[in-house]
Amino acid sequence: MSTGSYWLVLIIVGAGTVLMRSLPIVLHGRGSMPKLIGRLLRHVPAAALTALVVPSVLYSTSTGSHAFDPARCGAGVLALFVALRTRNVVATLAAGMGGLWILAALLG
Amino acid sequence: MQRSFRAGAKEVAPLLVGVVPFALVAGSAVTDVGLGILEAAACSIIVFAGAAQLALTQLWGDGAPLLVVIATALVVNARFVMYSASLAPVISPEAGRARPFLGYLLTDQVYAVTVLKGRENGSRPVPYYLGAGLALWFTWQVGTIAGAMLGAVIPASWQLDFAVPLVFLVLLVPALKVRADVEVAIVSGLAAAALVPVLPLQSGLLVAILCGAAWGAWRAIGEDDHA
Repeated sequence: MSTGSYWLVLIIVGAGTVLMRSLPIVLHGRGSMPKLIGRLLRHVPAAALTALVVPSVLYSTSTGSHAFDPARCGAGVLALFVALRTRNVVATLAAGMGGLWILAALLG
Repeated sequence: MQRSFRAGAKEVAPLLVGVVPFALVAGSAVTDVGLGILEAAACSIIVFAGAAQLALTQLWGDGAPLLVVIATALVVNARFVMYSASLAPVISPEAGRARPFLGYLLTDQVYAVTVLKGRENGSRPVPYYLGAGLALWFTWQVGTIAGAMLGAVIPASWQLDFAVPLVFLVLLVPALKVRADVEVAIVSGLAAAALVPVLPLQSGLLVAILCGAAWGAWRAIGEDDHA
């Protein structure tokens, strides 16, 4: 396919994405929001973070599809304990990455 | 103002460990389908969303119909609507004339740190958001250009992508202060585990977030009835 069609995709996707990212921030406070929407949004932080974490800990995508990965699970549980105890990013990163490398070497 | 900007950049810094290998992959994907460094840089500047960039580049390379390519990338990015709406009460009131320009920098990582930490320790959310957003933006641009020039030079076996869920885990702990949010996390976590591997167009993440938020909203209705 021609390079031109790639640029066309970029421009349309870029415009659509920036609209999705910007409109709620721009329109905030204009008119009242339905109560239901407000209730839904209140829980987006907890829902989004969990939904981002869980699949990346359960599955490896290195083969192109989602495959259950026991090394990631083990390292994730270890990191969760460290996160709960220390609430420290560096300690959690060290425990999680270290745990993953050791478990991957042992299980692989 | 400067202090908040630096606080945001500092908070997002550990997440960049996971962002760099992803940026290299996103950049090398563009040259892998026969395009140049210019297109790789343009993709990162214009779209600025890793999962969507990979999806649209691979589909375009496979010769998929352009409507399919565009629709897929937009579905992948639909979660940004929720992030933007969730972040609006935090940053919009202070944003003034900058409002229309803030959304462009919104990503999973910058949303998470700003919504959870943007008001902590006397930080002001708008400069905090800009500090986090620009730190990630520059890392992403440099990383994708490097990926387009050099290929994905960080071996996949290092699994540095695992850094992202690890940092999110630390952010998640204080986000689960009340019982409602713990329930929301359980629902969206189970939904994500089940749906992310199977739903098409990478829409599992979006649907899982909606499931969790819907549980929280439904629960609130029940409580209001009793009150």
